[in-house]
Amino acid sequence: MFLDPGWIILILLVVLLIAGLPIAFVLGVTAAVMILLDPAVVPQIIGLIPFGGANNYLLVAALLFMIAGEVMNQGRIAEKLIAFASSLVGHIRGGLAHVNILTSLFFSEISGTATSDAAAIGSVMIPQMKKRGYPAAFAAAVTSTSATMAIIVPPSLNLILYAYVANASIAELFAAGILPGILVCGLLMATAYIISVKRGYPTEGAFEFRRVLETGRDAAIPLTLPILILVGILGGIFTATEAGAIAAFWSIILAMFLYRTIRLGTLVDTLRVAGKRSAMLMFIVATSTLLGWYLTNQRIPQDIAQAILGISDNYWVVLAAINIFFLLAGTIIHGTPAILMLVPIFLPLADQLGIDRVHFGLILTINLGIGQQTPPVASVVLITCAIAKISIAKIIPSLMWFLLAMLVALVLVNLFPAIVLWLPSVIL
Amino acid sequence: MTAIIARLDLWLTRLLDWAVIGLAGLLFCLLNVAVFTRFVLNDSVSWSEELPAHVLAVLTFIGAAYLTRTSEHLGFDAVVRILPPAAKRAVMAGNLLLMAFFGGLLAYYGGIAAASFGSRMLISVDLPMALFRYAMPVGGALIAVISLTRLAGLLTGRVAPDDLLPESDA
Amino acid sequence: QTVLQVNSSLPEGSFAHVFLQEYEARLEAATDGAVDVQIFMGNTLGSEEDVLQGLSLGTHHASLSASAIAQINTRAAIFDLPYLFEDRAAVQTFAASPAGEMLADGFDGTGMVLAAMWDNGFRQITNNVRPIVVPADLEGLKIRTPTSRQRVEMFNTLGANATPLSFGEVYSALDQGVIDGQENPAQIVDSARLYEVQEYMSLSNHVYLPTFLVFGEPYLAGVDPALAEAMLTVAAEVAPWTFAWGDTTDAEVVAALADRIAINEIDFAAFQAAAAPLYESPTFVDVIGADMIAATRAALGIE
Ligand code: NA
Ligand code: NA
Repeated sequence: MFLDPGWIILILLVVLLIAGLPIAFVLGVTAAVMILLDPAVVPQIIGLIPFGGANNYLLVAALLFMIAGEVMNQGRIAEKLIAFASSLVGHIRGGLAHVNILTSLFFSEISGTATSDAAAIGSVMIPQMKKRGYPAAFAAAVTSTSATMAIIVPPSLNLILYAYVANASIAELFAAGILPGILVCGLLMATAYIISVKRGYPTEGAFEFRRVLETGRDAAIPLTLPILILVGILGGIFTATEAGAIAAFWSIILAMFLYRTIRLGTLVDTLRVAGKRSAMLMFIVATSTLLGWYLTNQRIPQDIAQAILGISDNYWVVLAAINIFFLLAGTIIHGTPAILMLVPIFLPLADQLGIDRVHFGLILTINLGIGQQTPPVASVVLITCAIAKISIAKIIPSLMWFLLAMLVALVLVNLFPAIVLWLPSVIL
Repeated sequence: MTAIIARLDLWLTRLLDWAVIGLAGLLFCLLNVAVFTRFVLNDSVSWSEELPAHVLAVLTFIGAAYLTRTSEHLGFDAVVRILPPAAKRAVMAGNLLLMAFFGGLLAYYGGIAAASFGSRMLISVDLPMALFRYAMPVGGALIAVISLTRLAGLLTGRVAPDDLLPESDA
Repeated sequence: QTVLQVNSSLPEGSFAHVFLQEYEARLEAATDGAVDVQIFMGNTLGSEEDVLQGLSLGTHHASLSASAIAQINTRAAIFDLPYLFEDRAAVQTFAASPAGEMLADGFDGTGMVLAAMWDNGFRQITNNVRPIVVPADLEGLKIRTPTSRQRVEMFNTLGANATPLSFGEVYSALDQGVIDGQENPAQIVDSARLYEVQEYMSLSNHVYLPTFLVFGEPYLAGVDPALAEAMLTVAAEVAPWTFAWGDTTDAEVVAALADRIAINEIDFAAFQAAAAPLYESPTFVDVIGADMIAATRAALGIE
């Protein structure tokens, strides 16, 4: 059994990952070792497939959304969204927590990654919350979990990548992410409300319609951009990549000429940051394509699917098993490597069970969103803890309750596919 | 000798920095030109998908070399960080060796593959495919050279293991 | 057991998939199971660009490819010349003629050999403005084409506004009216549900595109000669079956589509005349070669 290539690959992956080898190399070295040891495979494939993986029009969108997100981030656009959110929900008990969560929902319409969301909103909101008497851990936990909406609500780099790996429609996935994102938002706000009432957190004054109009006007300009993009992608007017180009272009115009919050030098910095992040993502894509090639060549995903279906072919049992596996995997890997490694293996299983690919994509995304919040690897929590100046251990008592809310959202999305599939069926 | 290597390293890093900025900027411009011609001039350019995809591949491998230089590849280093110094040094040396090995494979087999494309042209524009394909062997060779240089530094004690840990998570 | 992995860029359930399954059954029977054919549809073993290069490097065994073949063997671009083949019989006549041999010889030095040409289909124009009967009906219509310089020039020459776009965008672009029409085999109009967003399908048969089953030379050299021989022979034997099956299925698809989209015939001769300048255009002649065009015309008896 241990000579089976599937097991050798699994052992290699785990050992190299724990040894701290960068993930792109974990995938590439594993693939290369298997290919070089297999006499039936011609090693020249190593020179061919990684380039093919990186040579990808769809994922140019990732770079462009990263440029847009970075410009929006450095151009301090978040502050306008916070003012608007404050006018809407600041009067509720635990006002700033709700402002934080609602701003994340707005910002998630602009940013494609939870880390950029957490950095942009956390750097403004966490200090303010601390000043108003909220514990740092609570402020960090709210920021961290609500940032997850960035990968659920479109545009989402996770969903773009999933669309590529699963050969699904970006427009459908984007439309599908809207309601689950609002669901997560509602559950997080409910959790914040209960905690705030129990601990007696303050409100931010009374509701004033005049203030909604005033702040709404300021927030309208940054918010029209994502809405325009969303309508453009969902309506099939432009591709996700073209939308990314428009987003990047427009955010630069706004930040440089309207708000004058960034200069040319900053622009070069954003290109560097986005270029490096994109290369990091794409190099993982490139090496994972090589491993994926070997797995496909050996028909391993189909074998795994058959093995799991051999244990049980009950829809709910297998779906529960997939979720538990994703949650466990999510404690260590998320984002790009998780999607590239898990989707090719589990998609045949989902197909056989008759799980809709769009539904499956959102289940995966919410699982990975939770995974970003769970140690040992918890990228988003790490950022918010750094901003709040607390240790990961201290955030956990607060974080727990918000993660519980996200688990409730996950269960609901699993049980009721309509939460995901209804909107695309209506608007596409 | 060390001074020459340090100077070469400085120039290489600068070159990679400008290459990554330039390629990201080029992609930004290409896509905006494509959008402009399609939606404003109402006359699509033929290369709007194929060319950007190939440029992204170049960015991938050149950028991967840069990230190797700056130790910014994404990795899971929670275990390595808590190892005793000697074990840490050994594990990191092993990792550098594996990175050099993989970079070498990309350089060798990527070179063969790139050469095999000969004079094949992109479909939509008159540029040779090999022009883009050579980014992989070049990036792979740089990864191998950078990793081996660091391995030498690590083994001779000039480089501390903690300097080489990948960014924990991003 | 000798494994034969066949790649195809075409999706599961396509004509190509049906043909490969037939090939698999026949080849495995002919060799008493000595060959295990494994079919990989939808580019699962690499992009078309990589797969075709891999054939010459020995990393891939065989590929059933369509238009991408013309990048390797430019003579295959003969199929981009519009209004050349009137029916599938003409395609088979061509394959068996000296012109067909010239096409196969075009693979010399590319590291791959042509085992057979199989069916794929005639392309038809669909649009939302009016039935296309004569070339003037195309005037000003935005027609989506693949990223092919030849196809773009062809539609622009006929008066349309050719718009290259990736296939994944076609449905929604038609739905939104970003483009007026597109051109593809009838089977694609059916399987991609384009009839939901298109009103007219004109049986233009403007281009016939076959699929090419090509083998890598390193792979063939590495397997038992008798088995290699069987792989090529069975591929050739399947060819007539694919054309017959394609003809019947095409007719069935068009008949079934008649309930969902308005179908009309075109004035083939008028289009042939309008497209005549293309036979002199450098975009075509420089790529295909004047000798190849002349041989094809001779084989098909076209003046
Ligand atoms: Na988002
Ligand atoms: Na985690």
